[in-house]
Amino acid sequence: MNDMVSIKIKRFDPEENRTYSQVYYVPRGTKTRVLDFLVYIFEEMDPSLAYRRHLCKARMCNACLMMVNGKPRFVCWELVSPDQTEINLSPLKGKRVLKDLVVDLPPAGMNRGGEADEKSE
Amino acid sequence: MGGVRINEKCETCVPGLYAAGEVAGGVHGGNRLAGNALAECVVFGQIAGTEAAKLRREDAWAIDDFTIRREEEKLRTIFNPEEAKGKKSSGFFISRLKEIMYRSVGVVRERDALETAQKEISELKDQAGHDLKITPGKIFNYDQIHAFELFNMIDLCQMTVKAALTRQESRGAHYRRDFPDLDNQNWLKNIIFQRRNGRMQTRTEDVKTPYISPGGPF
Repeated sequence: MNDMVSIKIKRFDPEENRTYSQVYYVPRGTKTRVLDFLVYIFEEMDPSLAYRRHLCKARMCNACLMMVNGKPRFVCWELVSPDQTEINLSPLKGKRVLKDLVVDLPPAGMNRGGEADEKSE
Repeated sequence: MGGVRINEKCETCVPGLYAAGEVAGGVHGGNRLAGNALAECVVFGQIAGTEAAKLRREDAWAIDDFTIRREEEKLRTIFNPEEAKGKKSSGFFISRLKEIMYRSVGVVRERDALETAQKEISELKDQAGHDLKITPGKIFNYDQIHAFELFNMIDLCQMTVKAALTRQESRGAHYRRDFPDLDNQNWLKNIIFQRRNGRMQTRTEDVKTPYISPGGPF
């Protein structure tokens, strides 16, 4: 269980307007979800990595949506299988990237009603 | 349950600061039902909003220059990463703090564990004071946000642990393995923490029961 998982993250630095990739090697330990790996990277390895840290961990708030191996996924829910050793992460497609894995999302709840919500503003 | 102390106008002891909802304490007594915060935030949110608007209209209150300068000083240390020369990130300290609180100040509490937690938290505070590294950058920088939160969280955790140690009984959501019974004789009281001259001060106040006293006839 002590194997390493390589996590490749597509990052964006808004202050220098630079896009680059970075690979982190994270010990698997008891981590099961993709989010667990992101938390580990932020807390123990690189606090400059930005992803939305205030989230519900229950697939409801949309704050953790990002592309996992090319597919849009909730990383708070997405399992990492024990034989998986590589994860590719990039910001959600079709949205303006603010920094690293953070995209410009409307506040939770506002993105359900569509037009009606926009008119009432 | 614990929280910010408010009066019937939702005012706190800081002029101009109002508290409403789950952050405010004492509305539901020693325990509260899950979901009750919904009614609480509607009722007290309206009171707090009305009172705050009234205060603004009267222009009775303004932030003084001294307060602004003091806060500016605090911000400067966080936004000038050169001044903080440590190795650990604020997220690291917060996760350690959460670990301590989860282990020792959970549902079932007892003196030894609480005293250990008290010691560990003050050690963590010392370590965070000189070993904190803050990442530069002004856009979506969670490291700086957590640096703000960290010291507030440490203060709150110290209050929680101290209050749990002080209250030598079990009441509502507070359960002590070494004092498993309700003690209306000695502990019909609120424990209040307040910052005075930069230090944390503790006092207890009796709970007023003008209509029905606990343990008495209904």
